[in-house]
Amino acid sequence: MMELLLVFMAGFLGSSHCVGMCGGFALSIGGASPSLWRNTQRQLFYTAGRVFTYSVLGAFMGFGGWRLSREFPALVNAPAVLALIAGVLLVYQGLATANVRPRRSRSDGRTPCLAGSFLANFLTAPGFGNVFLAGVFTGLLPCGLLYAMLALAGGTGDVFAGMAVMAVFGLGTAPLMLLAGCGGSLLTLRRRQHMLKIAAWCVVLTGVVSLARGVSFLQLSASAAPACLFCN
Amino acid sequence: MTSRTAAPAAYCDHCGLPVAAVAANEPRYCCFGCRFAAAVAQESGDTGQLRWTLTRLGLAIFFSMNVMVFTLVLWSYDVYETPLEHGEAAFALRDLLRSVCLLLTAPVLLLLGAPLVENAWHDLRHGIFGVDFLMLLGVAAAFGYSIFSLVTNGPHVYFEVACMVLVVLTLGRWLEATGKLKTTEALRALEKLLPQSVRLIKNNVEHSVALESLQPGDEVLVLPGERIPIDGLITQNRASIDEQIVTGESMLCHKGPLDTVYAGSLNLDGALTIQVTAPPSESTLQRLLDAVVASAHAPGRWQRAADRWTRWFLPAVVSIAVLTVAVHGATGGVQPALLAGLSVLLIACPCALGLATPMAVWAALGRAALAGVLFRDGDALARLAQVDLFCFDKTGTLTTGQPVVENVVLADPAQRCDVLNLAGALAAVCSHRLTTAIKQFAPEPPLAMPSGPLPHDVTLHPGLGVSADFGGVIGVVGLGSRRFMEERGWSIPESLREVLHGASADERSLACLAHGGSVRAVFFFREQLRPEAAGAIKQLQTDGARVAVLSGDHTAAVLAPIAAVSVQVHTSLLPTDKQKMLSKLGGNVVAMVGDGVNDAPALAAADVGIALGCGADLSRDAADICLLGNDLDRLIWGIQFSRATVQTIKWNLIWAFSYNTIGVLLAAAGWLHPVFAALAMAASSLMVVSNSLQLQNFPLPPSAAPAKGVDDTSDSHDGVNDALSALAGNGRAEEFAAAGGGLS
Repeated sequence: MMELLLVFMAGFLGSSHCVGMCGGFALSIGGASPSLWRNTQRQLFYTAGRVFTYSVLGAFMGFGGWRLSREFPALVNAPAVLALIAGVLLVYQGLATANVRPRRSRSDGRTPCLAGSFLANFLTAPGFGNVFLAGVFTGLLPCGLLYAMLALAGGTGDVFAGMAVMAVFGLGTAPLMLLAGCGGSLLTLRRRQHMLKIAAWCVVLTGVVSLARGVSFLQLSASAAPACLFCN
Repeated sequence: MTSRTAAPAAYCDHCGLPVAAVAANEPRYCCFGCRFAAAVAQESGDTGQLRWTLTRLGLAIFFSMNVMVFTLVLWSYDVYETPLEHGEAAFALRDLLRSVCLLLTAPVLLLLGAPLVENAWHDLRHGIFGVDFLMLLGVAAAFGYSIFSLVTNGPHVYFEVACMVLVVLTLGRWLEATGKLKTTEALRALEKLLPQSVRLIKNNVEHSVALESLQPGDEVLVLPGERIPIDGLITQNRASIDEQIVTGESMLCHKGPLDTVYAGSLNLDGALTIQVTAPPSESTLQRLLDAVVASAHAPGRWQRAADRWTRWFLPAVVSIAVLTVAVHGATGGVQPALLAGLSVLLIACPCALGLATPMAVWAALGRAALAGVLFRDGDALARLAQVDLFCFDKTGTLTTGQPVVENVVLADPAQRCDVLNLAGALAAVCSHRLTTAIKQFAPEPPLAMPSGPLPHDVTLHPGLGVSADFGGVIGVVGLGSRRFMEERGWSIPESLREVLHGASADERSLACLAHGGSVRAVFFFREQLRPEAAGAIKQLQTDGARVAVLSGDHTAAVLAPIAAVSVQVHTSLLPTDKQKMLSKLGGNVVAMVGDGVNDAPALAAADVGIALGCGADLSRDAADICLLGNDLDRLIWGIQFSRATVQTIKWNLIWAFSYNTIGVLLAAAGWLHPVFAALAMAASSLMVVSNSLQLQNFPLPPSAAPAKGVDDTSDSHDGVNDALSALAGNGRAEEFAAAGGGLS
């Protein structure tokens, strides 16, 4: 439970990072809406689409983690390794956002051509169904934070737990994305910068917790390994 | 136009690439992807529509994701491996999950299966037994078996297979079609250059009419800043015209009444009235476009090889699939047989193999056209990469065709200033390449009095020279050939007679200046080497090719800088001799580079005929490759580009072939799940497409490179501007500004 709360916080605070990446999509969804209420509805559908995709990805990762730990129980402690990978990714991502680690410069800013033309069709289309689908596909866009969370979901080694991690993460990203989509700039630049800083450290914290979890898993399996030798 | 560029049969209505099957009076598409993409494009054009086609795909993906999650749950609880341990509840849960999967799969089948069925049916009606039909069979089998299993409490369901295969197939084909569309982007950008409507002048009244309706003899008005829509003669006014798009010439030219203008060139600063000389369908730009499109249709050697394989592939694949089903069915039961058979069909789909060559060639031809290099067909593109002997025509190819004054011999050195001034004044009033040379002649040491008297009563004597009356003490002055001097009875001083005699033995080109009844000076000319010629030849030799020069005359002195880099020079060859020389020099693949005027036989006889400066007259020559401009650096660019293209084709083929072979083996052994087979199939085609599209990022030659700050790749959103900036040469902006500045 504690962990899910942290994941939610990582999603919530980390979403200032999302606003940078996906905020443009949120804005273009609201662009044509006649009223705030209508726009909010569209944003909700969009967010629901994203959360849906994250959950599906989480289910995949949970399944993958489960299969790994089942197929190679003695060779690799899959949840431990995945938790460690997630931890490293999260810490890296957090430090990069907090500007402790130098950020990779944005590559030329050219949109991925095929994906771009595909998404644009849904973003601007009328109807909630299309907006939902836009959310579904935006959820598939590459994102460092997302990968780290997916590794975490894989570490759970269970379909439902993986889904839960990703759904909670997705819900965590919802508030700020809704704000970004609806209010445009309700937050001042200064406040956003503050938020970004806190978010970054929150992501680092989630990473450290994940690392600790991975290490404890490893110790568990280390103590369990000789027992297996005797069993066989 | 030669028979090699005969009008192709048909083009896909979506991507503009050639299609094999011709069906009259209905939309033609080269593949399922294009049919789908065309539907998407039509709907996005009309904003009122609900964009149903794309929504359909989106919904199907959504449902498939759900199916996948429920399948994962099914798998993770492993209910069918040890159901008894979990008791009745596990059975109930399993049945519930399976039913949910069925409910979610049905819409996917309806959404994506329907268009695929439509396409397969369309193909079948036209006698095409396509892969799509086979895949449909596979999907139907997977779905049917799953329902059967659900009803009879069988061990396995494969709803996720049916969903994923449909989704991946549709998505993959659609992305493929989008990629194909990009290969022809450069051409469409060129097509859009010409305006749709033009200003027709009839009885001094201006009408706006469609470009297509113009007839030879019509008069149109073209305002400053507009593109000239049609080939014609200027009847009124003068203007500076940018003809780079058709002639490759980066210098502006100034044209006035009775000068020819070409469709596609840009009128910079004059309101021109133009009399149409050719119908729009035969205008220069249109013929240029036709040539590129036709070249895409001519199947090259590589293409024929791939086609041959593909023809064998389909029956082979079907046999392997049938065999797989039979063997697995006999040994392992229905369901592994079904899965393995479906995997074989999916992985063996020869899409990537079929695309490997045409995608690269189409992408390359468009890019090359943008660089001012036109290939007649994909074969010429591939052959150029293998040329190991380059033969150059001399005059007009290695040399500029504009001679310069080499030296002047005077009858009386004391009269130097007067004589040169008279020559300059007389040369200024007529345009001939020799008088142009005299005009540009800057004598050393410079003249004390740089300008002379002005002539009047100028008379041109065609083929002989020019004469004019300068009045006063000077009287009639003549400038022309030795024959001209003799016909007019002007005496030749003894000192000059000797010089002339030596010159005629050397066949040097010359002009005599006479006044007061006797010849006063003889101008000697020499050809000048193109500034880039020596560098280009050196580059060819560095690349390991041999270089020879085939010259019609024997004035080889001009070639001195080239001869320094060990080039064989053969002089005094008749056009037919040049042709014979090609085989005598003995290269494996021989290229002839000429201007296409007097070396047409050699161009046609060479393995690769390359003509320079043929932008305005594409139909004139028998060349395989046309360089729009006169720039030999484009030749070097073309060679490097053709090598890159051949490399791309090879990799595409190697990849597609090995992927298919290994994939089929794995699938037939039953080691490849159909979902992964479908993903691999789509990934393979997309890899071939994107690998080929890389050719569109090949840097353009510096002289054709776009102005600073404009990205030279063609994936910018504004293809027209891209094409324009790519076709506009360096320094074009300054020239344009200068022209504008002159106006204001």
